[in-house]
Amino acid sequence: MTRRFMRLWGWPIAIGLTTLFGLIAGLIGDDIWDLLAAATLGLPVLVATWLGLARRTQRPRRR
Amino acid sequence: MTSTSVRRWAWVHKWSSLVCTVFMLLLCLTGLPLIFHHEIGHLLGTEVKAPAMPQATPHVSLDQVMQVATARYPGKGGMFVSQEEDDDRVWYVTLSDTPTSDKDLKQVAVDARTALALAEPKLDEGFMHIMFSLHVDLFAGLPGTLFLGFMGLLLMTAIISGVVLYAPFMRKLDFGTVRHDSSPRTKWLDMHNMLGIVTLAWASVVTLTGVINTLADPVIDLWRSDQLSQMTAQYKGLPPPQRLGSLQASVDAALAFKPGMKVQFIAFPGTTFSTPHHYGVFLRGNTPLTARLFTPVLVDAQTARVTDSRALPWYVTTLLLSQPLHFGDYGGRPMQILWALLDIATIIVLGSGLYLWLRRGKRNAAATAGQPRDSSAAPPPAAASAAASGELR
Repeated sequence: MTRRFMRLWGWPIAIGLTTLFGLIAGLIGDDIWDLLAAATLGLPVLVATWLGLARRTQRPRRR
Repeated sequence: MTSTSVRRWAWVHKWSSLVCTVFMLLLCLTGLPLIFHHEIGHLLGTEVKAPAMPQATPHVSLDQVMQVATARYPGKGGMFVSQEEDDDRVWYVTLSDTPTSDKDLKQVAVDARTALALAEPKLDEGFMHIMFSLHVDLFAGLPGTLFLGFMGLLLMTAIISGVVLYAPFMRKLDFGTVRHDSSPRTKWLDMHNMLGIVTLAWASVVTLTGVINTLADPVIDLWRSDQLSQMTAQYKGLPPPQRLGSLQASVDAALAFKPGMKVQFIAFPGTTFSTPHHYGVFLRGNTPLTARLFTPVLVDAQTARVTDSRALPWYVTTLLLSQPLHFGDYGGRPMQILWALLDIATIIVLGSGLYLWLRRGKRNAAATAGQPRDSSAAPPPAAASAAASGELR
């Protein structure tokens, strides 16, 4: 159950938490915090671009 | 999840998105230039530029600034005076026929060091004004704003139901799978699911904060009737002052009352941000967070003495915090660019959702041909595979 759950939700949860951290980091301070915000908010953009453009061969999924 | 609940969530997802998609596409498209409104202002030459002068150049009195501004429009009086967060060299003076007018407002930008009028920014024309109005109220005032807020709530419903449906749709697929070699419909279904789940947190925050921003006017009204009236109870029933005292002295009094803060804007007596007897001086702090959370100081407009200052109540704080989280203007240029890219990703999610709905017919016919219409008794895997084909009936 947990393995199945993490397989489905692991990445979405990780990306979501990273995004939220970035959104808050920018509010906390300038300079280093702005950098952290940009790096963490950049993650969903990078992942989306990579998955959207990369033509990977489809792997069958184990049940 | 049973097939019945999949179908119910699919129904919620379909209708909540269908109703709001056109408006959300409009908001995403008009929001894109708004992210870069300063940069576009520079390009269009509408941004006010203060001439370079030594940093220590003393500033002139605000009363002088007001004289310069009102001399240009003798029939009008002061409404607001404000300055940009990162530039205290320019005062933006808004003039109006009455303190509560919402038409025929004029703005004069006055150099804070020389008291020279630098420009008259146009408040109600130009490309950015059209983008702004379409984004904020559809040129329809408060009803337009509240309508867009309701559309935002529908989008939030669509996002939540989309997350619920993500599980049955993705049961047999790896995270982020986009089946490029399958039919266009399958490919765009995968794209819709992938972009939707990857941008989930950002889209939820921007949607929710956008909805909160649509409540700005009612929230300020609540603050007026709740706190502002308490803070100035002693003035109730008194006739409004015939002559206003010094604006500079009033601002100085406010700054002395709250040391270390800066002026964000000043509301003249009689506006929604003040009383007939007071200047509302709104101060801000110096960190990215406190720069957004202003502190109101009410200064008697005749005596230039501070009447009261209270921390903002939670509902105004929530509104003010929602603004940067909606605008994406608190992390410099990199954040603006990421905001724009995430906005484009959202446009693709909306567009692909619409496309999937428009192309729904074919599979529907195939799926229902040999099956009884009510499949609620079917075991979950059947529902999952029906769902995986991307059909929202």
